[in-house]
Amino acid sequence: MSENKHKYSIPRVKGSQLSCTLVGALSVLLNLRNTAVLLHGTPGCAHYGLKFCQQMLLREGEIIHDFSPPRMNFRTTALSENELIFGGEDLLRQKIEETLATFPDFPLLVIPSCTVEVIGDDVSGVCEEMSHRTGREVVYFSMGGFLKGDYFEGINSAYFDLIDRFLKPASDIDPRRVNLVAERSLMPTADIDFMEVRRLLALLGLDINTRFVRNLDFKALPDVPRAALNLPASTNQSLSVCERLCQKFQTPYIQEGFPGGFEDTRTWLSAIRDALKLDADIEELMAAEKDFFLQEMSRRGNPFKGLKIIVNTAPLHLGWLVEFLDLLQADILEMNILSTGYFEADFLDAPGGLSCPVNSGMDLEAVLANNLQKKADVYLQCSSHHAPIPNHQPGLLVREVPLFPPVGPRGLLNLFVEWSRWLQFTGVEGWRNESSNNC
Amino acid sequence: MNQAITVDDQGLNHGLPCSLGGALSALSGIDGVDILVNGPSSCTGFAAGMVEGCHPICERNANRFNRLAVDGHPRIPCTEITDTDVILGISDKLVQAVELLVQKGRGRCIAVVNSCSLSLIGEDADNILMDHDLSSRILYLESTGCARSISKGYSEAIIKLIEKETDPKAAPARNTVNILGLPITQYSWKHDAREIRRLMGMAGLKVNTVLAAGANLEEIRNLVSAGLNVVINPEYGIEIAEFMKKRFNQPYVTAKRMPIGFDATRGLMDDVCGFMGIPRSDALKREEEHCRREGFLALTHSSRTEKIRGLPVAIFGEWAFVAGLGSFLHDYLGCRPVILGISGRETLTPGETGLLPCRDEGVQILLNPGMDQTLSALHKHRPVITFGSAFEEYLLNQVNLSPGFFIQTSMPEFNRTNLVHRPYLGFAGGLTFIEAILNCRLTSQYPYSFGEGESGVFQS
Repeated sequence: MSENKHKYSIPRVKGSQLSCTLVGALSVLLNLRNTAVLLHGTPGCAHYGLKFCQQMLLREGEIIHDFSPPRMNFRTTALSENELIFGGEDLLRQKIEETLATFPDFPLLVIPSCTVEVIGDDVSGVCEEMSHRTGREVVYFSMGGFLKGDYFEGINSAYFDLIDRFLKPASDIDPRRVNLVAERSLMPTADIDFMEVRRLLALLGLDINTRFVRNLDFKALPDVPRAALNLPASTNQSLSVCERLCQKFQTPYIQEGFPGGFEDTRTWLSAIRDALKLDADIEELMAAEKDFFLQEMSRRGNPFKGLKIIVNTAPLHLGWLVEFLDLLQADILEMNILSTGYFEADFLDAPGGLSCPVNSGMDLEAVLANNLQKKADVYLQCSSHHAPIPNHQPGLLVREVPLFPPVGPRGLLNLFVEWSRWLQFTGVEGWRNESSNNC
Repeated sequence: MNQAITVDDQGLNHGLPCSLGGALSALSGIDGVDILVNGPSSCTGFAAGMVEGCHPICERNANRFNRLAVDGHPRIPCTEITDTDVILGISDKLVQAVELLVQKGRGRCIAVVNSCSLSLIGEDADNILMDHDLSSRILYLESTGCARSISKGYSEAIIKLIEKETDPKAAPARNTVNILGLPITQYSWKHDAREIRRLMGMAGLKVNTVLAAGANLEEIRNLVSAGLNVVINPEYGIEIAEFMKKRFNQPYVTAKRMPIGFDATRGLMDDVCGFMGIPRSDALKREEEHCRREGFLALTHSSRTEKIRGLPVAIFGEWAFVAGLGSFLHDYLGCRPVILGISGRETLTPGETGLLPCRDEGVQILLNPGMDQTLSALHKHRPVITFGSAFEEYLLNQVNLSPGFFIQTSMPEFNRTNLVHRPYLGFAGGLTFIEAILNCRLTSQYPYSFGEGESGVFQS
């Protein structure tokens, strides 16, 4: 296991299973263009699945249009009580036929849900049979809702199935092209992060071979092994996929995910340079990047200089934030980290590794009380789905920190501009004085 | 009847969540009930997320379960069942979670709701709780979310709660009614609940509870004290009303379809007042007159008003809502419904079909409309205004109608919030829709006149 397996990932609740394989698989497979996805399951799962995916698409639409053509390729068998009692294989056959007719040029990817696992439909057998009968690709993905694991296992399983079934070794490997592997498609910043990665790679003279599988055409899957190097997007979601690609096609990969902050970027670029034996002066590159950042900061004015800041956080890797605030010449009074009795401990930065005072293992009340006592100018908060920090007390200037760091130097610059605009506003938030007794 | 009825043939019943969502929405609308989902975190997270979207609570109170050894959602915890538990049994996890809720929960009643996988596997959670002597405060629900509708899950949860909490000997309260059938999954439920209370107040009636729409356990306990149950939405309320009639001999009157606009609201209020033996009050008369006058003034003074007659509209939602809104648009404003998309239903009785505004030529009724069907119907009929959820809005964007307006009337919604008192029900509901439609027409710069929606003259 890599040392930084959990770097920049959502802190996990002890013993918790995050969502299910169905959601993980959908988050991968709905990224593929020119495919149809059929969920063999219940209407409820279809509703939630579709809602989830449309939210993803709407978010994309809000942020950037170039990368997000509408994909309405999701279908479901919508099992009824009848199928739960007598089995759903006939209905599956019927829906496969209908979906293939609706999308005559697309392969069909079939995902079963947990109810199908329970009633014992032979989904794999039906897919094989229909594939023979129609002469079309009907591909079974071995999911089973929560019975086959969590969100991350769903992601891995979907990627592994794609690799094992559709990717073949390539002879024409391009030494200047790399793959981006297993990007976080559900993050609204996925495509903005991509643009920064593309810019950084161009500094090394590298091109992107494929984004595996973000917005990838199904027909382009055979291109994936043509890359000289695989770059995992994150350490928790992408490394195992890179490892699988390496086992099958001997494509090397680096151990670092997309970089957050200057130090990370330096390490990331160096790792790529070493892996591809490039002749690039990373120190020079990074010096230029830092100069640009500082120039921009000075040109725009730095409202953070000398500000006293308290950081409240779930256990997350926040080295990038400390580095960022140092660059902004802000003063971190302390960092309050919510109890690891609740979270898996290995998501926590070693307190000694951070260049600021750290209070570990605090409970929520202690964090909130502490905030009221200490006189900071700004309170930064890193939350998570499981641990929102409801810091709405009157008079506090509170800003949410992104769950994952913005990628690369330009990502930090973007964050600086956004936060500066927020900080320079001199109005007050009167709503913080309202009572929550009636809520 | 000239309408074409089509049932979704692509199996994408995207409109409504499962009965687990129904049960959770029913119980979340009642203060004093702590909910525990006996199931995996994924189902819980989705359903609880929906509930939170419909009925958000203050974040300061939201994470009270965070430090329990049960997970799921900041608002609704679950037993976090995994494949291992399915093999080894869920007993320990369930008992531990319930004990923690008994100890740390704030509610007086704990509702344990089974997810569908657990029900299919046949776990007898009820017996587990009885064996551990935990059943006295526990309301146990076999939700079986997969195969049943959201309204079924909603009704069953409420009926179970009534069985457990309602006092059959509660002292009768004079001129008091209960309002049934207003789930928090109905877009604008908060405003509608307030509006119905206001209307009943004008009629001289006191409302004991708007059931499961911001209710509390005390109101549930006193349900029997009301002299009448008033069903606003038969899909969600009629089963509950029938149960209460059978169990407590409590009478009910029901709206045939949701009371949207002037005539439907007047009809319901006349029925209610008639049953209670009270005359229509002056306040109620004044309210109706006021709303009718305001609507009339806006319609007569608008330069685009003539273009509302024959306006092709599409309405998507559950049957009672589509029937209610459709009738108001058709019978009062003279709009022309061209698509009626009914979520969550595979069949309609002749009586239900008869209540839809489908007497005109070319109305298409879609049952359980899927994406392909909805897209194809939008392409074919080219409605100028579409009423529906974020799903239909999303599809409408794909069709790229010009002009094509969207008015949010049902859940889910992704990109709006609904704070100002703009009820959809009641006399005032009529004004809400007149305002929304006129604003669509007044902001439209397109040289559009009706009939072109179908002819496609301006189709790009």
